[in-house]
Amino acid sequence: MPVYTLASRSASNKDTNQKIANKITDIHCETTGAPPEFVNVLFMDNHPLKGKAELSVTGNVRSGGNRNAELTDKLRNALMQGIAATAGLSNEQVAVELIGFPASWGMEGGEILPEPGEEEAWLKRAT
Amino acid sequence: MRKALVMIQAQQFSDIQLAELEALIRNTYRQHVSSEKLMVVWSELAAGQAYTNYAPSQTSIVSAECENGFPQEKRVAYLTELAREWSQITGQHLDSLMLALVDADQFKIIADSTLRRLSFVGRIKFGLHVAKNLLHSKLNNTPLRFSPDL
Repeated sequence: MPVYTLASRSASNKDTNQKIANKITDIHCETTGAPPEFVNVLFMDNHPLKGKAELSVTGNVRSGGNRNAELTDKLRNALMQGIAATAGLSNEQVAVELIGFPASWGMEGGEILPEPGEEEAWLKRAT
Repeated sequence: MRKALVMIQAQQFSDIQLAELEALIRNTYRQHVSSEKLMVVWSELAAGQAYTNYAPSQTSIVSAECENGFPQEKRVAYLTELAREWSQITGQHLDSLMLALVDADQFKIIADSTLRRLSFVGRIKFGLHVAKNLLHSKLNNTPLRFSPDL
């Protein structure tokens, strides 16, 4: 967690996907403080999207902890701009939706996920 | 009917492993969560379509739905057993396994996110894609599995 799924209107290619995955990981970690080990990015091709979107991004992220509305807005805008620049699209062609749910509902590495902002202690405990 | 959505890499598991994993998902769900009927949907991503920590991913993601307000103690028991048994079947490291048991209202929001972003034509195309694979699954008595590409 997070899991970002990107639906694209056309077929994607590995090189572009890798660059976009790198950009999303950078932005997510810089904005939220989460470690990159947590960040998953998945691509789905040939989805007839609504509106002007060429790429539609849904991010399932942990809620609570240090994640307030301001940080969520900042993350959404940074993702839209960063993905658009990396993919050679305008901001209007990238739609971003973030869906939060409690960390306590998820498990990675055999352990219940930490609250946002408590990742460092969790990673130390898990190793 | 409740749902479980599973995201794996294409060719990651053999057909035998997949059948064992589906049985595991159903059995642990019945034991720890609910006796309600569970629909398990497998989504298989092609190479180059999944990344974790900047690298091509080998992560499997399993998310299932439960009743709203499900007790956390039972949730942990379900996730813990599923993680342990899954890694025994697949040999996967636990770091490559992400599990979630999500309250029904929130699960619907997540599951519907695929449809929300599609045009009217896209929703029809998606529905036909799922229906075709569901029919194949029923006729052959195999897990419901398909590529998320349309």
